[in-house]
Amino acid sequence: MASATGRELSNPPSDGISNLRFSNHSDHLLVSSWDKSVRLYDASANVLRGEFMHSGPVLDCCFHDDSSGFSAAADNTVRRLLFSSNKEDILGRHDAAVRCIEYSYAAGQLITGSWDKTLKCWDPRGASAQDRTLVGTYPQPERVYSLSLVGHRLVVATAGRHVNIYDLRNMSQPEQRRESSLKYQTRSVRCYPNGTGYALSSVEGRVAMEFFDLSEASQAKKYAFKCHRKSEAGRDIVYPVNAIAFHPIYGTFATGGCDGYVNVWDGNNKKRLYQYSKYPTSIAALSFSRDGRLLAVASSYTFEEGPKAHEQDAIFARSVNEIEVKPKPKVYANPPA
Amino acid sequence: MRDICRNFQRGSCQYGERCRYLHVQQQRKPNAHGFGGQNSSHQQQNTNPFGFGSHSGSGFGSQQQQKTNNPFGFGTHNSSQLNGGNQFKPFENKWSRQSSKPQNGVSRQSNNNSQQVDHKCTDPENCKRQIAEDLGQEKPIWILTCYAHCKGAPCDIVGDISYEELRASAYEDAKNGMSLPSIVEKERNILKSKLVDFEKLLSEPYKMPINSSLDHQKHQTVGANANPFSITSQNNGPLSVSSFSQLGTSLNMGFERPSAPPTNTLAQPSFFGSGVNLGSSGVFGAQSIPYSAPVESTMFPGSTQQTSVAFNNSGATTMFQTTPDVQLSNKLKVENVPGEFTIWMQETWNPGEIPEEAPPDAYIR
Repeated sequence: MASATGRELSNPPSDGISNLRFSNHSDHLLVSSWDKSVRLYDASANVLRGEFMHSGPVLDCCFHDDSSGFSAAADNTVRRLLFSSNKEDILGRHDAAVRCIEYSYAAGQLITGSWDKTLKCWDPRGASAQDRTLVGTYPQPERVYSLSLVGHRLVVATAGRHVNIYDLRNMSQPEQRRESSLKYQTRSVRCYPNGTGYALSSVEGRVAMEFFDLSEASQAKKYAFKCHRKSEAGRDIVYPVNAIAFHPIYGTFATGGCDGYVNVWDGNNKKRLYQYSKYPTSIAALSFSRDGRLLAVASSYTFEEGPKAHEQDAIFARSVNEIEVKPKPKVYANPPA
Repeated sequence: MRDICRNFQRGSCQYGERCRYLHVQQQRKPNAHGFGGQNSSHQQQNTNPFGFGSHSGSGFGSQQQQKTNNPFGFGTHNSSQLNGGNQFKPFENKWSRQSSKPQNGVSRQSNNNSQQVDHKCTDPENCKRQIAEDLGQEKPIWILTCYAHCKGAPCDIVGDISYEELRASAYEDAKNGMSLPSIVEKERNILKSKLVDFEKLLSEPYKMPINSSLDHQKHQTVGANANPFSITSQNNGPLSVSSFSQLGTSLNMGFERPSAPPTNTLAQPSFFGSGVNLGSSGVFGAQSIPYSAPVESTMFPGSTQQTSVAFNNSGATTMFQTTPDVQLSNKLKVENVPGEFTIWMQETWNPGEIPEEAPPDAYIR
């Protein structure tokens, strides 16, 4: 049943999809939605395995392990979801909608970012009273829009183009404070799987590739590229780049934009490797499975043009061919004469 | 000494500079924008949709001067520029030619971003040019965004709103029983005020954002801030008068326009139901402005007819009909107070928000 766009999952959410994630342990996919639900799918079997309803739109979700996960909702709550019993409990709250959530295996902590301009760290092993689970609250210069973890590093992107980089072992202050090298609002930030830096995307159809190491040599490697644009009548239509997902094995990455396209890029060689067929509407989220064989694409209108009629929200799980994601380094052999 | 590389002529040599054959320009038809490694010198402005721009100009491009700026090294959406009589028909180039992409991806950066890389905020004229260029060619379809013309510098236009916030706010309003038309109206106002912000930034001489300095990320004292402003304030006077009257004429909203010499008489901001408001016009004229924010006071919604600039309605996708209000509304006592001035409208301030300059007279009650 695979088509150009991949297999469409049945029973998708009834409203926009805010994020989706593959598990690190299986092909389970956790999907959070504006219809106030978090759904658990088995992507290869195309079966809905669980559904959790919240009291407000759910803006992000993540796995803990194969038996539980977490969700961040616009009703200011941070919840833990237990898949086997289909139960959930509230771990804590922010003062405003919780926008992003990540679980750090390295630190054993849950990290949430919110529009109340703070980052909070939680210890999910504690009992569910907020006092016991909350490890710390860290103020940010602005509302948190995106965050990403790799190893011991946490990158937080906020409104106003601020970027804070933390070492999870010492959260008292950021390791680095930066401004985004792009000129417009940040949409998404993702760390490279090899831990040397992060990719940052904005609403202006650009992605910046940055590095943590502040030495001259490393900073010389950083660059930005334009993507997700369409040229029409001599000028560009510039689409926001909503999602970035790194392939766990090859280190190449996919970006999804409001133009409905997913592109795969080789960051080291600075090339585009592939472009998938256009999806019905904006790409809201992307996730590679743990073995890199599947790519989940949330084709879901993201409101970049305000409320308007749009295609139905859908999740596509497509098989990934090696040729689409494998880097092609420069070849040193002789070209055929 | 060596043969000429045929692949390179076709625009698809995968060996790039390591190729053992000669890469020379243009043996075949001239190909202004397409593949073939043209050495076009005007790379910045244009049509470089996949230009991989480097931040550090010396990054990668330095070794490869011959092969600069191959705008389509990256494959393309952009078929319209792919003219050029090579084998590759415009619409076919998308992603199928993986193995034949030129190595030029790397070299492209050197010229492409040199303008941006070298931009330092030393000359407001230069800044202004940069802004005009950015807003002219690359305006995003999402405009409720902050903007900085200089990378790594604080924002020239503040008031970042993400579409999730918009959506959450709209849903919340709807849940609380707000009618759709009024949600739509709220959104439209936010959108309009943002449009005006951008127009202002474009039309007036460039002034540094309040908290900016040439070395970013430091908050300056008032004293230090005053300097950039006083330099530009003279320019400000006459120019702002003219733009003022210009904007004024096109309006059909019933609000006052200051007559010729703008003075402090218009001190009290008056807020009209439709959401137009007049900030202090004491900002204009000979007075040096402690507060010259990127957004000057007055706001003229519907001024999109105005200008050739930025966010015109021409693109079908650019303007949305309705935009929900957002978190901002929590802070704003009155909806359309211009960006920088909203701070004065708040009841209480959080630490870190308190401006260092005195408020313009208009806001002193």
